[in-house]
Amino acid sequence: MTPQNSGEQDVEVSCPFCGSTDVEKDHAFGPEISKSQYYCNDCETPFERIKWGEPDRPDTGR
Amino acid sequence: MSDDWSPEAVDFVQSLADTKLMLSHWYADQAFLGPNMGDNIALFSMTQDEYGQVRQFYLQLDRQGRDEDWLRSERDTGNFYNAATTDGPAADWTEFEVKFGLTDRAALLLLDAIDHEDFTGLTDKMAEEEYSHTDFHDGWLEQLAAANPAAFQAALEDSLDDVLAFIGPAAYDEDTDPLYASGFTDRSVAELRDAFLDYLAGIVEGTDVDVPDTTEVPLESWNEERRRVAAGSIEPDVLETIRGSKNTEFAAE
Amino acid sequence: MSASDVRVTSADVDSLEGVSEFERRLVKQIDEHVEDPHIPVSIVEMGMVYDVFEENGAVTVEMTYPCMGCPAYQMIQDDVEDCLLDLDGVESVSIDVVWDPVWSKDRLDEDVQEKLMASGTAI
Repeated sequence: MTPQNSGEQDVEVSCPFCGSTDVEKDHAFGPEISKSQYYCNDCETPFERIKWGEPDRPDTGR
Repeated sequence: MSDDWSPEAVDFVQSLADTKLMLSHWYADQAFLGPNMGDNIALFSMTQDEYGQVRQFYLQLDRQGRDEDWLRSERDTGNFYNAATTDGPAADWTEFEVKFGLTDRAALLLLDAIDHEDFTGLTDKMAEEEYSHTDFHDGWLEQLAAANPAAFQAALEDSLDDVLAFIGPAAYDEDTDPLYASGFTDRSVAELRDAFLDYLAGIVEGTDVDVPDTTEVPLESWNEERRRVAAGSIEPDVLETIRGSKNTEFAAE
Repeated sequence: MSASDVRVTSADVDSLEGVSEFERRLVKQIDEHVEDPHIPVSIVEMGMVYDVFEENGAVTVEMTYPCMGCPAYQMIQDDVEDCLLDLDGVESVSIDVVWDPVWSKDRLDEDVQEKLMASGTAI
């Protein structure tokens, strides 16, 4: 399994199919560079989430 | 757009662009080296991200008189200013992550240090995209350093001096670094090298890997344009691939 | 982002001030003709068009992209140019790709967010 440091979520994400917030990020990279991959634990459906607009930036030691 | 870039600034941005072009190339070329399907998907995404960033750097360089056609298709291998770590492919996944993951990190530190109005928003967007690159690489680097310390150590000893030469010579401090002195960057090379070495110490912390002693780059032997000490360059067949010479009939206009 | 108030060069600029009727028509033309290639909304609804201005038939479009590595980077610009040149009164089109402000999904209006959700994409 690919190790990931920051799978935790700061923002509440809801499943576009059932609206549940019991979802988890599967992978930062999806089939398109504009989207990440998620999974809904309630309706057991994978979905994509559009990226960009969160304040996360890599630590550059400043 | 402004016309106050120094010649060193133009070379610096070309070196960043060319290094990212080669990262893009090796990410694609070696995308099936990844241990899992998810890694390969990540590598193809990172290929696209890097290429998109190169496209914006080339636009900036073109406005400074470094012709985009020349950058894309007319120059020879000696005129590529890519980091020496990106001249050739990696032999295995550990070497791949060490030399390309660390080079990607070094390129991030360099672009993040640019403090010029032509890059407002642009370098922040790049940093936003790079967030998932550093997350990916750091996860792997930490895991490989712990699981495979001997191979990691060997790869690090092969690559570290070249990555540091790409960042620049330690002798360039706030008083002597021409990019810092002209205000093009807001961190000197010496500070960026320290930031990189601090980051690397964090990656290998708690593992059997030691950060090797680094060789001081003598200023007179450092190539300012190509940001390296060593000779060497990409191979002619790689140049042909990145130009897409054999696929021109399929290219969008 | 709706087609009627596209001018948002920065947060402190009044979104409607100084926009001519013709410029609004230009934005509407882009909105009607240039779709995002992988999300079922227009590039205007995506908030990718930051500014459109016209002077004596010369149109300048300032636009951005959610991703620098957009594979449709050139295709979208060509589509914008083509659809504007179809309008009477447009002599030339120049496109400036800008990155300030950096695109964010905060630019999506609620109705656009709903369209994305309906297509299976979370925000």
